[in-house]
Amino acid sequence: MLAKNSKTDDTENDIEKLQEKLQDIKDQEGIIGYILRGPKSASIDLKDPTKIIDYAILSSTTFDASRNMTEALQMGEVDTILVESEETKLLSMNINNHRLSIFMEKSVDHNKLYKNLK
Amino acid sequence: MTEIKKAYPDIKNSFIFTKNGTIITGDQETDEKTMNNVRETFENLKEKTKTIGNLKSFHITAKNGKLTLSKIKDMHLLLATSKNADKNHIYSITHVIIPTILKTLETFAPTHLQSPPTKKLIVDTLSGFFAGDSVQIDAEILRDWTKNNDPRARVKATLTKEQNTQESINNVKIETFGGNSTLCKVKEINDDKLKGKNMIRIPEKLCKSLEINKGDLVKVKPAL
Repeated sequence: MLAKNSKTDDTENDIEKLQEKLQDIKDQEGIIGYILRGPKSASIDLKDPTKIIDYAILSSTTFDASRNMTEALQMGEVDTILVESEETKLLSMNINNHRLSIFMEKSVDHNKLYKNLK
Repeated sequence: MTEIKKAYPDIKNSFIFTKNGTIITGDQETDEKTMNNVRETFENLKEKTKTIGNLKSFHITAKNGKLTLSKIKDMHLLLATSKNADKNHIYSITHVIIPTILKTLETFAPTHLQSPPTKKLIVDTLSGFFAGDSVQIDAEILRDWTKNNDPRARVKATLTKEQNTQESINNVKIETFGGNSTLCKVKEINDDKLKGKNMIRIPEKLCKSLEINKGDLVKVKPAL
Protein backbone atom coordinates (compact mmCIF):
# COMPACT_ATOMS: atom_id res chain seq x y z
CA MET A 1 0.00 0.00 0.00
CA LEU A 2 2.86 2.29 0.92
CA ALA A 3 4.60 1.52 -2.35
CA LYS A 4 1.42 2.27 -4.23
CA ASN A 5 1.04 5.61 -2.47
CA SER A 6 4.64 6.49 -3.21
CA LYS A 7 4.13 5.67 -6.91
CA THR A 8 0.97 7.82 -7.00
CA ASP A 9 2.87 10.69 -5.36
CA ASP A 10 5.64 10.38 -7.97
CA THR A 11 3.11 10.53 -10.80
CA GLU A 12 1.39 13.53 -9.23
CA ASN A 13 4.74 15.26 -8.87
CA ASP A 14 5.57 14.48 -12.49
CA ILE A 15 2.26 15.98 -13.63
CA GLU A 16 2.84 19.06 -11.50
CA LYS A 17 6.28 19.45 -13.09
CA LEU A 18 4.74 18.96 -16.51
CA GLN A 19 2.15 21.64 -15.83
CA GLU A 20 4.89 24.03 -14.74
CA LYS A 21 6.74 23.37 -18.00
CA LEU A 22 3.52 23.94 -19.93
CA GLN A 23 3.04 27.30 -18.21
CA ASP A 24 6.47 28.33 -19.50
CA ILE A 25 5.85 26.91 -22.96
CA LYS A 26 2.51 28.66 -23.46
CA ASP A 27 4.19 32.05 -23.11
CA GLN A 28 6.74 31.26 -25.82
CA GLU A 29 6.39 32.95 -29.17
CA GLY A 30 4.23 31.03 -31.66
CA ILE A 31 2.50 28.82 -29.09
CA ILE A 32 -1.27 28.80 -29.60
CA GLY A 33 -2.08 26.73 -26.54
CA TYR A 34 -2.31 23.25 -25.11
CA ILE A 35 -4.72 20.58 -23.93
CA LEU A 36 -3.65 18.16 -21.20
CA ARG A 37 -6.10 15.38 -20.53
CA GLY A 38 -5.73 12.88 -17.72
CA PRO A 39 -7.98 9.99 -16.65
CA LYS A 40 -9.94 12.22 -14.26
CA SER A 41 -9.25 15.80 -15.27
CA ALA A 42 -8.19 18.05 -18.11
CA SER A 43 -6.54 21.42 -18.37
CA ILE A 44 -6.91 23.58 -21.42
CA ASP A 45 -5.13 26.82 -22.14
CA LEU A 46 -5.72 28.33 -25.56
CA LYS A 47 -5.17 31.89 -26.74
CA ASP A 48 -8.50 31.80 -28.56
CA PRO A 49 -11.11 30.31 -26.17
CA THR A 50 -13.74 30.11 -28.93
CA LYS A 51 -11.74 27.27 -30.47
CA ILE A 52 -11.70 25.07 -27.36
CA ILE A 53 -14.25 22.55 -28.63
CA ASP A 54 -12.75 22.26 -32.13
CA TYR A 55 -9.24 21.85 -30.77
CA ALA A 56 -10.37 19.33 -28.15
CA ILE A 57 -12.07 17.25 -30.89
CA LEU A 58 -8.97 17.47 -33.08
CA SER A 59 -6.72 16.43 -30.19
CA SER A 60 -8.90 13.45 -29.36
CA THR A 61 -9.26 12.41 -33.02
CA THR A 62 -5.49 12.62 -33.50
CA PHE A 63 -4.85 10.19 -30.66
CA ASP A 64 -7.58 7.80 -31.83
CA ALA A 65 -6.43 7.92 -35.46
CA SER A 66 -2.82 7.29 -34.46
CA ARG A 67 -3.79 4.31 -32.33
CA ASN A 68 -5.88 2.85 -35.19
CA MET A 69 -3.11 3.30 -37.74
CA THR A 70 -0.31 1.92 -35.59
CA GLU A 71 -2.47 -1.07 -34.66
CA ALA A 72 -3.31 -1.74 -38.32
CA LEU A 73 0.35 -1.53 -39.30
CA GLN A 74 1.59 -3.33 -36.16
CA MET A 75 3.86 -0.48 -35.08
CA GLY A 76 3.36 -0.74 -31.34
CA GLU A 77 2.49 1.94 -28.84
CA VAL A 78 2.36 5.57 -30.00
CA ASP A 79 5.07 7.86 -28.69
CA THR A 80 4.59 11.18 -30.48
CA ILE A 81 2.30 12.55 -33.17
CA LEU A 82 2.85 15.58 -35.35
CA VAL A 83 0.09 17.06 -37.49
CA GLU A 84 1.15 19.81 -39.89
CA SER A 85 -1.20 22.11 -41.74
CA GLU A 86 -0.20 25.05 -43.93
CA GLU A 87 0.06 27.47 -40.99
CA THR A 88 -0.23 25.46 -37.79
CA LYS A 89 1.30 22.39 -36.15
CA LEU A 90 -0.04 20.07 -33.48
CA LEU A 91 2.35 18.03 -31.36
CA SER A 92 0.70 15.28 -29.31
CA MET A 93 2.18 12.75 -26.94
CA ASN A 94 1.39 10.49 -24.01
CA ILE A 95 3.06 11.46 -20.75
CA ASN A 96 2.36 9.58 -17.51
CA ASN A 97 -1.04 8.38 -18.61
CA HIS A 98 -1.94 11.90 -19.73
CA ARG A 99 -2.62 12.97 -23.30
CA LEU A 100 -0.88 16.21 -24.18
CA SER A 101 -1.55 18.25 -27.32
CA ILE A 102 0.32 21.48 -28.02
CA PHE A 103 -0.86 23.76 -30.82
CA MET A 104 1.71 26.07 -32.34
CA GLU A 105 2.58 28.14 -35.36
CA LYS A 106 4.56 26.44 -38.10
CA SER A 107 7.76 28.30 -37.25
CA VAL A 108 8.03 26.79 -33.74
CA ASP A 109 10.68 24.08 -33.30
CA HIS A 110 8.55 21.15 -32.14
CA ASN A 111 11.63 18.92 -31.59
CA LYS A 112 12.89 21.37 -28.97
CA LEU A 113 9.50 21.28 -27.22
CA TYR A 114 9.48 17.48 -27.30
CA LYS A 115 12.94 17.26 -25.74
CA ASN A 116 11.88 19.69 -23.03
CA LEU A 117 8.76 17.72 -22.18
CA LYS A 118 9.98 14.10 -22.30
CA MET B 1 6.51 0.91 -54.53
CA THR B 2 7.98 -2.58 -54.41
CA GLU B 3 11.18 -1.32 -56.06
CA ILE B 4 11.43 1.59 -53.62
CA LYS B 5 10.97 -0.85 -50.77
CA LYS B 6 13.82 -2.96 -52.15
CA ALA B 7 16.06 0.10 -52.39
CA TYR B 8 15.13 1.28 -48.88
CA PRO B 9 14.69 -1.82 -46.69
CA ASP B 10 13.64 0.40 -43.76
CA ILE B 11 10.27 0.89 -45.47
CA LYS B 12 7.74 -1.59 -44.10
CA ASN B 13 4.52 -0.40 -45.75
CA SER B 14 3.82 2.13 -48.46
CA PHE B 15 0.84 3.12 -50.55
CA ILE B 16 -0.67 6.09 -52.36
CA PHE B 17 -4.30 7.18 -52.38
CA THR B 18 -6.18 10.11 -53.87
CA LYS B 19 -8.05 12.77 -51.91
CA ASN B 20 -11.23 10.99 -53.08
CA GLY B 21 -10.11 7.83 -51.33
CA THR B 22 -9.02 5.70 -54.31
CA ILE B 23 -5.93 3.64 -53.55
CA ILE B 24 -3.67 4.05 -56.58
CA THR B 25 -0.87 1.71 -55.70
CA GLY B 26 0.87 0.10 -52.78
CA ASP B 27 3.60 -2.36 -51.92
CA GLN B 28 2.75 -6.03 -52.38
CA GLU B 29 2.90 -6.98 -48.73
CA THR B 30 0.31 -4.54 -47.39
CA ASP B 31 -3.14 -6.02 -47.89
CA GLU B 32 -6.02 -3.94 -49.21
CA LYS B 33 -8.00 -4.22 -45.97
CA THR B 34 -5.15 -2.62 -44.00
CA MET B 35 -4.73 0.11 -46.63
CA ASN B 36 -8.45 0.90 -46.54
CA ASN B 37 -8.51 0.88 -42.75
CA VAL B 38 -5.63 3.38 -42.57
CA ARG B 39 -7.06 5.50 -45.38
CA GLU B 40 -10.50 5.74 -43.73
CA THR B 41 -8.94 6.70 -40.40
CA PHE B 42 -6.87 9.35 -42.16
CA GLU B 43 -9.90 10.74 -44.02
CA ASN B 44 -11.67 11.23 -40.68
CA LEU B 45 -8.62 12.95 -39.20
CA LYS B 46 -8.22 15.14 -42.29
CA GLU B 47 -11.79 16.38 -41.84
CA LYS B 48 -11.17 17.36 -38.21
CA THR B 49 -7.82 18.97 -39.10
CA LYS B 50 -9.66 21.68 -41.06
CA THR B 51 -9.82 23.46 -37.69
CA ILE B 52 -6.13 24.32 -38.12
CA GLY B 53 -6.10 24.55 -41.94
CA ASN B 54 -5.49 22.12 -44.78
CA LEU B 55 -3.51 19.09 -43.70
CA LYS B 56 -0.03 18.90 -45.21
CA SER B 57 1.55 16.00 -43.38
CA PHE B 58 1.02 13.64 -40.48
CA HIS B 59 3.77 11.82 -38.57
CA ILE B 60 3.65 9.21 -35.86
CA THR B 61 6.61 7.90 -33.92
CA ALA B 62 5.66 4.59 -32.35
CA LYS B 63 7.48 1.95 -30.32
CA ASN B 64 8.36 -0.14 -33.39
CA GLY B 65 8.47 2.37 -36.20
CA LYS B 66 7.58 5.66 -37.79
CA LEU B 67 4.65 6.56 -39.99
CA THR B 68 4.62 9.47 -42.41
CA LEU B 69 1.59 10.57 -44.38
CA SER B 70 2.37 13.37 -46.78
CA LYS B 71 0.45 15.26 -49.42
CA ILE B 72 1.68 15.09 -53.00
CA LYS B 73 -0.48 17.34 -55.19
CA ASP B 74 -3.97 15.93 -54.62
CA MET B 75 -2.74 12.55 -53.43
CA HIS B 76 -1.46 11.17 -50.15
CA LEU B 77 1.55 8.95 -49.66
CA LEU B 78 1.85 6.70 -46.63
CA LEU B 79 5.22 5.39 -45.56
CA ALA B 80 5.67 3.20 -42.53
CA THR B 81 9.31 2.63 -41.70
CA SER B 82 11.43 1.07 -39.02
CA LYS B 83 12.19 3.33 -36.08
CA ASN B 84 15.78 3.91 -37.18
CA ALA B 85 14.94 4.90 -40.74
CA ASP B 86 17.05 7.77 -42.02
CA LYS B 87 15.11 11.06 -41.92
CA ASN B 88 16.82 12.21 -45.11
CA HIS B 89 15.84 9.05 -46.94
CA ILE B 90 12.20 9.50 -45.93
CA TYR B 91 12.33 13.13 -47.04
CA SER B 92 13.83 12.27 -50.42
CA ILE B 93 11.20 9.57 -51.02
CA THR B 94 8.24 11.77 -50.05
CA HIS B 95 9.48 14.99 -51.64
CA VAL B 96 11.59 13.91 -54.60
CA ILE B 97 11.33 10.28 -55.74
CA ILE B 98 7.55 9.63 -55.57
CA PRO B 99 6.52 13.07 -56.94
CA THR B 100 8.96 12.59 -59.86
CA ILE B 101 7.64 9.09 -60.61
CA LEU B 102 4.03 10.28 -60.51
CA LYS B 103 4.79 13.22 -62.77
CA THR B 104 6.56 10.94 -65.25
CA LEU B 105 3.72 8.41 -65.26
CA GLU B 106 1.17 11.15 -65.84
CA THR B 107 3.18 12.21 -68.88
CA PHE B 108 3.24 8.64 -70.17
CA ALA B 109 -0.50 8.12 -69.74
CA PRO B 110 -2.29 8.76 -73.05
CA THR B 111 -3.86 12.19 -73.27
CA HIS B 112 -6.39 11.50 -75.99
CA LEU B 113 -8.78 10.02 -73.43
CA GLN B 114 -8.95 13.22 -71.43
CA SER B 115 -11.90 14.72 -73.32
CA PRO B 116 -14.74 15.64 -70.97
CA PRO B 117 -17.50 13.03 -70.88
CA THR B 118 -20.33 15.55 -71.46
CA LYS B 119 -22.45 14.70 -74.52
CA LYS B 120 -24.91 16.90 -76.37
CA LEU B 121 -27.98 14.81 -77.07
CA ILE B 122 -31.31 15.41 -78.81
CA VAL B 123 -34.39 15.14 -76.63
CA ASP B 124 -37.10 12.63 -77.38
CA THR B 125 -40.05 12.45 -75.02
CA LEU B 126 -41.11 9.29 -73.27
CA SER B 127 -44.82 9.15 -72.55
CA GLY B 128 -47.35 6.67 -71.34
CA PHE B 129 -48.03 4.64 -68.26
CA PHE B 130 -44.67 2.82 -68.34
CA ALA B 131 -42.52 5.90 -68.95
CA GLY B 132 -41.14 5.64 -65.40
CA ASP B 133 -38.67 8.17 -64.06
CA SER B 134 -35.49 7.01 -65.84
CA VAL B 135 -34.06 8.55 -68.99
CA GLN B 136 -32.79 6.35 -71.83
CA ILE B 137 -29.47 6.75 -73.65
CA ASP B 138 -27.62 4.67 -76.25
CA ALA B 139 -25.80 1.69 -74.76
CA GLU B 140 -22.69 2.74 -76.70
CA ILE B 141 -22.56 6.12 -74.92
CA LEU B 142 -22.96 4.43 -71.54
CA ARG B 143 -20.15 1.99 -72.38
CA ASP B 144 -17.94 4.88 -73.47
CA TRP B 145 -18.52 6.62 -70.16
CA THR B 146 -17.45 3.59 -68.16
CA LYS B 147 -13.91 4.04 -69.53
CA ASN B 148 -12.30 5.98 -66.74
CA ASN B 149 -10.92 9.35 -67.89
CA ASP B 150 -9.42 10.36 -64.55
CA PRO B 151 -5.65 10.72 -65.18
CA ARG B 152 -4.94 9.13 -61.81
CA ALA B 153 -7.04 6.11 -62.77
CA ARG B 154 -5.05 5.86 -65.97
CA VAL B 155 -1.81 6.02 -63.98
CA LYS B 156 -3.18 3.30 -61.73
CA ALA B 157 -4.09 1.19 -64.78
CA THR B 158 -0.58 1.74 -66.17
CA LEU B 159 0.97 0.67 -62.87
CA THR B 160 -1.25 -2.30 -62.17
CA LYS B 161 -1.87 -3.34 -65.78
CA GLU B 162 -5.55 -3.59 -64.85
CA GLN B 163 -8.29 -2.58 -67.25
CA ASN B 164 -9.07 1.12 -66.99
CA THR B 165 -12.80 0.96 -66.36
CA GLN B 166 -15.13 2.03 -63.61
CA GLU B 167 -18.49 0.76 -62.43
CA SER B 168 -21.52 1.01 -64.69
CA ILE B 169 -23.32 4.36 -65.01
CA ASN B 170 -26.60 4.40 -63.12
CA ASN B 171 -27.28 8.14 -62.98
CA VAL B 172 -26.76 11.07 -65.30
CA LYS B 173 -26.86 14.81 -64.93
CA ILE B 174 -28.92 16.61 -67.54
CA GLU B 175 -28.33 20.30 -68.14
CA THR B 176 -30.44 22.37 -70.47
CA PHE B 177 -29.16 25.36 -72.42
CA GLY B 178 -31.69 27.42 -70.46
CA GLY B 179 -29.74 26.69 -67.28
CA ASN B 180 -31.97 24.03 -65.69
CA SER B 181 -30.42 20.80 -64.51
CA THR B 182 -31.39 17.56 -62.81
CA LEU B 183 -29.96 14.25 -61.74
CA CYS B 184 -31.83 11.11 -62.79
CA LYS B 185 -31.54 7.38 -63.31
CA VAL B 186 -30.44 6.15 -66.71
CA LYS B 187 -31.14 3.04 -68.77
CA GLU B 188 -30.20 1.87 -72.25
CA ILE B 189 -32.56 2.79 -75.10
CA ASN B 190 -34.75 -0.25 -75.58
CA ASP B 191 -36.34 0.71 -78.90
CA ASP B 192 -34.11 -0.59 -81.74
CA LYS B 193 -35.37 2.09 -84.16
CA LEU B 194 -34.07 4.86 -81.89
CA LYS B 195 -30.61 3.42 -81.23
CA GLY B 196 -27.50 5.21 -82.57
CA LYS B 197 -29.29 8.53 -83.16
CA ASN B 198 -27.50 10.59 -80.51
CA MET B 199 -30.75 10.78 -78.60
CA ILE B 200 -31.86 10.98 -74.99
CA ARG B 201 -35.38 9.80 -74.17
CA ILE B 202 -36.77 11.77 -71.24
CA PRO B 203 -40.12 11.16 -69.50
CA GLU B 204 -42.63 13.91 -70.33
CA LYS B 205 -42.98 14.96 -66.71
CA LEU B 206 -39.23 15.56 -66.47
CA CYS B 207 -39.25 17.46 -69.79
CA LYS B 208 -41.82 19.83 -68.30
CA SER B 209 -39.83 20.45 -65.16
CA LEU B 210 -36.67 21.08 -67.23
CA GLU B 211 -38.68 23.30 -69.63
CA ILE B 212 -37.53 21.41 -72.71
CA ASN B 213 -39.32 19.91 -75.71
CA LYS B 214 -38.78 17.12 -78.19
CA GLY B 215 -35.91 18.03 -80.56
CA ASP B 216 -34.09 20.31 -78.08
CA LEU B 217 -30.41 19.77 -77.31
CA VAL B 218 -29.29 19.02 -73.76
CA LYS B 219 -25.92 18.43 -72.15
CA VAL B 220 -25.64 15.04 -70.44
CA LYS B 221 -22.85 13.63 -68.32
CA PRO B 222 -22.52 10.65 -66.01
CA ALA B 223 -23.07 11.25 -62.30
CA LEU B 224 -20.55 9.02 -60.52
